[in-house]
Amino acid sequence: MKFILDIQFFASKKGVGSTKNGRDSAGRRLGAKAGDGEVVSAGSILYRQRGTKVYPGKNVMKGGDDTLFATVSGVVRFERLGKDRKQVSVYPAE
Amino acid sequence: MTKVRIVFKGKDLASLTIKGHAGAGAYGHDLVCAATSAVTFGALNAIEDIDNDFDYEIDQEEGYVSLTPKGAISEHDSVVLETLILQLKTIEASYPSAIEITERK
Repeated sequence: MKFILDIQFFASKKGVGSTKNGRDSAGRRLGAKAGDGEVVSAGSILYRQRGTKVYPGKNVMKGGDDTLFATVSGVVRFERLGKDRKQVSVYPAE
Repeated sequence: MTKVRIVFKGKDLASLTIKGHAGAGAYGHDLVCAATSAVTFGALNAIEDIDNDFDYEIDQEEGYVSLTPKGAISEHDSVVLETLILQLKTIEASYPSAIEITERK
């Protein structure tokens, strides 16, 4: 059994009191979806972002929503790009 | 209110998102939440190989579950997901103020 049931998973965990604030949109789950050194298949999503926090490197392309994805199967490498930027590349496994 | 968003691509499921608190009772006594939680986690466990066949997110704090098939869905998993959707609709039919399902074709 992979997932343990919390019978109150969809219940509010907050205390009873009410507040005018406290509204927020659900987090967009951005960030890395594959780790450095991880083997991925072509088409795999590597990094979800808004804007180019991380740039596409070798064998990586950027989607319309700035998502970075692998164009070949291989090993993921996060690398420096210039002085203060980062890029992610995928190197085909030998 | 728990919001269920089901997106289809043709006849196939493209994504399923369940988020938000049912708000049908205090924590520990929220019956609609209990029903929704049970059928959702039951379905997640019933899926054959969720790690390989689906991208999924589970966020305990926000009461958020999302499920996106990576490719074609097996017949087994299709039945599991159809059953989940029907169960959620059954809950919605009785507790429309606590759970709302929207479908997009």
